[in-house]
Amino acid sequence: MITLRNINKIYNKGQQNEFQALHDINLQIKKGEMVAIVGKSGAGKSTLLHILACIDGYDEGEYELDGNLIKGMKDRELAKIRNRKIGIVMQDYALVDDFSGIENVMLPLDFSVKPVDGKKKGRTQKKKIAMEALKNVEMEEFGKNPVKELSGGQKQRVAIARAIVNNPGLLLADEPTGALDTKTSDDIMRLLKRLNEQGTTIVIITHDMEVASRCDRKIVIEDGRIMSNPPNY
Amino acid sequence: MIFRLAWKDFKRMIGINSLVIMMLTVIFLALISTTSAVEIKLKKYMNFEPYLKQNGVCLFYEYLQADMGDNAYLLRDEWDIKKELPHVKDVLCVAKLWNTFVNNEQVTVLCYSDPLIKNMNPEMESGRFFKEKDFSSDVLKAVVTHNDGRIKTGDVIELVAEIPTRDGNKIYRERIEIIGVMADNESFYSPVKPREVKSDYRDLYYTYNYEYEEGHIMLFLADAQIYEGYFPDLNYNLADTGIQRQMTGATVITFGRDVPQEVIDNEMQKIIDNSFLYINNDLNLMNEKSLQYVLQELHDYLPVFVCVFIFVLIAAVSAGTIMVKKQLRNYAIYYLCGLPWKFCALISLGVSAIITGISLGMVVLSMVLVKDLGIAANTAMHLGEIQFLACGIMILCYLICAWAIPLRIVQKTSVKKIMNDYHL
Repeated sequence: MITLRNINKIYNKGQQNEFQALHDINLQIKKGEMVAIVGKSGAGKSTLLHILACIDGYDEGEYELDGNLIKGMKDRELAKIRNRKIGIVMQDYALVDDFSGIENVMLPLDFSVKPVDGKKKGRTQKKKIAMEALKNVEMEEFGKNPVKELSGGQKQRVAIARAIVNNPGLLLADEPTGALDTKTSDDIMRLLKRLNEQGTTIVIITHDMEVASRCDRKIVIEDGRIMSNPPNY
Repeated sequence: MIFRLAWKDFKRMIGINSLVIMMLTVIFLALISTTSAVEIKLKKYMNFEPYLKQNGVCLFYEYLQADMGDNAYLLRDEWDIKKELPHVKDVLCVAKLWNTFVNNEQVTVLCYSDPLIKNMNPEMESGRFFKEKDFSSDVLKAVVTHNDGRIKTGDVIELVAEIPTRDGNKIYRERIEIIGVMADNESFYSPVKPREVKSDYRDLYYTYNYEYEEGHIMLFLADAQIYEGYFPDLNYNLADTGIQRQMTGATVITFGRDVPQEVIDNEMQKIIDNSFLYINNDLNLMNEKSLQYVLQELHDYLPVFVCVFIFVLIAAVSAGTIMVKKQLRNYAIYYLCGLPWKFCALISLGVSAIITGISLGMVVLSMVLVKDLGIAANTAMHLGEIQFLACGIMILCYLICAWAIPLRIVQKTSVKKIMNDYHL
């Protein structure tokens, strides 16, 4: 699913404060894997996540997603990839506060340029699909509530529902349990595991070894370099 | 989708947006008022521009006569003038019928020459002004001034003219159909000498005000119909029996461009020598002064308007900038969900479009209310082509600024920075 070959990322290239965030990153993540990328703060985890999520570019190397080379693409094409192929879950949930749960979940559906199954979806159909996503994360009762009224765990579930509503093959989670208590973290991890068992490839950026231990593979990154990358048999 | 997000954004910042709506509404109303005022003046000038541009004169007089002594006779209409002055091209004139009554109440009857009837287009309270088809009608048609409902459109009234003759007063009665009632405070070709001579197109207009006239009604007839046979005695020279019809107010006489000035002077001298003139204005001079006056109005209104317009535009754009900056977190979320980054600027444009739409709605509502309540009876405010064009240009300027500034902010801001700032 994901192949990174000799990825290098340099900030402020050619300037006095030039900084290389990633050095020759080589990585392969198969379809259906649940992988944790762990490292200390400033190791380059978020930089790597941004490249995987097509939020940021890279300076050298190649990034292939589902066989497509992600290089030199226009903003619109990258937006399409983020909309259709990738679901993103952030530590701070990244929800629109005064929208309801279902309105947040419907955002990727509304931004779909071409519908997934070839037919244009009306508002009712989109609501139905969004409700199903909320059901998948056990949040169907709270769909109409404004998200600002929800707890941290509930918000993260809504965020996950939004991330999977367009059935992307890849789910990227940046410290998904970072702002949650132990029990809620456990619930979220179980949810992510269940989604993974349903076929979604999941990459979790975390510094929490407990979270990493629940993944199939743990990739360690330090000072922008892969220190440990067990094989994915 | 963008519109839905824009609507959400609009509601989210309803306070600041309401302020912008009020500002835009005020500026639209000011624009409509300004353009209406200038347009009305320009229209009034343009009505007579073809004549003012010609060689000729504009006369105000006690009476017009072409000769003295035994052959003296008062000039009653444009045909009399053209008969006496063979090189005349156009004559704009109005004649008053004396001793005319409706329902035992004295009224002023004004008979307008052809060119005037064709050029006049006053605002009507009800009904319409004259049309070509009226001139061949069986019934004499008339337009009446505002009269508080005493005479209405569609009424068939009896006009009584008392003509003093050697054998006593002769009474003529004629049925007249009212085809329209002119709006109060409307201007028409002047049947009187101006109180204050301006020596420009304004001298050609008289504004009727019902209250000022103390309810005295004026009736308008078209000469084109009069000479189809009504009041036949009026066509005779009745100089010895009293005046039944007399030219009054402004009379514009024009000559063709190819007529030498000497000929014009000679012909005009015939009238000047035998008439009692109050004012004799050269048309070219009147035209020059008219243009000066109209342009002066524009000159006076424009700087104030431009300043207010710039101020409102700056305020509106500033408000838009504040709103965009407050929405950057949401824009970053939309970006994560698959909206191209530059499209986020369209959301701000959508908000501006909503603001503009609501402002326009308030403008229309204000104008309807103002009209219904009669608040702006003495002000110039109407929605016509020029007003739509002016508002359209203003909307375009506002929307361009409202889109360009957010686009610049979005272009200059990286999503990653926003994500860092908001810990996304």
